[in-house]
Amino acid sequence: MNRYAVRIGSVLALALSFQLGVFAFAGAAENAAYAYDGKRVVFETLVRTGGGPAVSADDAGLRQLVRNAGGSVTWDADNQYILVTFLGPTVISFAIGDAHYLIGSVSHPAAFAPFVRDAHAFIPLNDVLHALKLPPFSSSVAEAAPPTSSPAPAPISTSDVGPAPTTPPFATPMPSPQTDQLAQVTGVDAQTQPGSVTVRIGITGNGAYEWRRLRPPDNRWWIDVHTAKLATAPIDQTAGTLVSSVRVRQQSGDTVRVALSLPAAEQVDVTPGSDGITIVVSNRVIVAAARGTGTFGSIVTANASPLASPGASPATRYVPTNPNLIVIDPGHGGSDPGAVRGGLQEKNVALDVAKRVRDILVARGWQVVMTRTDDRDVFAPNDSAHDELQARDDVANSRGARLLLSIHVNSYVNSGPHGVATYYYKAGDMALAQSVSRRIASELGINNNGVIKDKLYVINHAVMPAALVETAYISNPDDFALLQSSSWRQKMAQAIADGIVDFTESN
Amino acid sequence: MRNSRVFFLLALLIAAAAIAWYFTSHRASPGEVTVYYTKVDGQSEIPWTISARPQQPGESAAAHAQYLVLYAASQAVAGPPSDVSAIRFPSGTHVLSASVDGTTATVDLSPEVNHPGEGALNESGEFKSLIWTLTALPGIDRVAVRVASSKVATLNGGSFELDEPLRRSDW
Repeated sequence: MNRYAVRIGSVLALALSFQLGVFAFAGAAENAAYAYDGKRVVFETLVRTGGGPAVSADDAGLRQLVRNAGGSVTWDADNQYILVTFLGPTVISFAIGDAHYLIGSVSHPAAFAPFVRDAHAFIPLNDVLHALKLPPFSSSVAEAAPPTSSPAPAPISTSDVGPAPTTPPFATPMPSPQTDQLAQVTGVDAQTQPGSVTVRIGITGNGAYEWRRLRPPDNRWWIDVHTAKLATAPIDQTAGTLVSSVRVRQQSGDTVRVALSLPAAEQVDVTPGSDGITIVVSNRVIVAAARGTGTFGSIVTANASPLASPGASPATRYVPTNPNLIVIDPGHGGSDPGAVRGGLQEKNVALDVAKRVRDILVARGWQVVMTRTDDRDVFAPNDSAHDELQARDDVANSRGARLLLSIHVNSYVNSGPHGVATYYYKAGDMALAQSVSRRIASELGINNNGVIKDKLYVINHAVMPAALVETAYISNPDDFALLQSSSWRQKMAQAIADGIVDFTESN
Repeated sequence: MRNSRVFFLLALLIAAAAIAWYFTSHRASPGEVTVYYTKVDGQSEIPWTISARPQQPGESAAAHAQYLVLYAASQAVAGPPSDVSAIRFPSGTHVLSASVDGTTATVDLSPEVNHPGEGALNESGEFKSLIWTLTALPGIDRVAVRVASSKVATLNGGSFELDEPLRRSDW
């Protein structure tokens, strides 16, 4: 009995302290009553903004209003969103800094972006009322409420509403760096490929970012770019079926927010680089991770990854003991010819292209080790695939190389598929694969099948960033002709080498 | 008084466990399974819903789960009808056996699957089809693959890795 009494007392004390906190906080807030359908609630934390009345998600009046409609209000400070949930279920979700809200999965423009003041989340009251199919809060329906701890405020009228602010009006002021120290967000480019969308945020300068995903079923993602200025007008665009919208805003004085709304739960990979941040949305895997941070510019790091598989768990940055050493792995060799068509063997094409890549990189001052320099097995003739592939990884792993790149020729059972594809598996591989794929796409006129995640042994067991390029399909007549061309192999080698160098400059 | 509370809680726990067991063991057997075939782009899947034998009277849940895994795996390996464009297992590949241990299904494939002329597209697409199909079954979240009753590290063609059970997140 005493134990329960203590618990109840604690709860009452907590409630009392919370109320005192609200009253202390509500210095600039107002009490205003709202009458509807014969009911009446009092908003104790009402504040006026340029976009209309705002009310705290903690507000007792708001909670009473929602409760009367059979719902509840949740403020998730960690994920920075507010949910109004009804049985059914119907969810109205607001996200801090996002001037849109969702009813179910349908996006609606909000009167203003919800904001946080002193750890309290403020949301557009009239949007909530609109979602509940109630009349808006205005002077015509508001009535003065009796004071609680402060004099009764005047009801809000439209004449009190000023121009809409471009930033949250009550955001805590943060010391801002000099404008010339801020990175510049120069724009957003969205490219749609089959099964994926690549959104590239162009940034000049150095800085840090953080990303987070709202809790399912809300499929919104934010990437906050800190110490940055938006160098363009606010951006609103669509990006194919996988990304409903991409919005870019100056969130605060030195933070630019990129908000992605997805119509469904998709995999989102966020990769920093020297010239910005690349976000790849693909319909392959649904990730478990909800947030991450990193830096872009001259120092690129990422301390979290949305990839959920063991090989791609939150990345710890690989530090090579030989940062100037690159390992090139020509696929197959010796007793293993790889794919064969006519007199053309994969092992010979791979070796030739690999040698060309080596020569280009060496000419640029890199140290290059090849897993084989002639037609032979790396481990032993007629060995197992495991032993052979592990021997190739051992070449790179034992030397502490900067990266490993494996070169192959693809094959299919018919002549349909064609073009190049770059494979990765671990989280740390993706940036390398993207760099190489980008160069191949821009320097060769071949069909680019893009960057593909695949559990290939040689890249999975390399401790450093690793990628595998399937240069072309030996089974396709057009690709077959290209593979036989010395000049095309040289172009492919140049593109691969350029991609490798791009990666090293940003990682 | 204290002892009676403990007994009451214990009885409650046992009752909850019994109810949970009842509902899981008497869950309605699915009358169909979804087989996923990988499109030739290697990325997306074509779902095919096919009928499956429901759990028979006297057949244990474990035996039925094993049947479903064998049936669904066989359908995935056989591929879709010939007029459907999809990545297919090498000709002659078939399922030797299938079993279930906890949330892991084990599928033993015939040696034809290890085709040296195959590339990354083939191998990745084949196993994506198999793994997506089996992990769509209730209670299965990973699939171990054996080839001719042996554990293999990789396949010979595209060097797709098979030494550990595969999950959907491997793609």
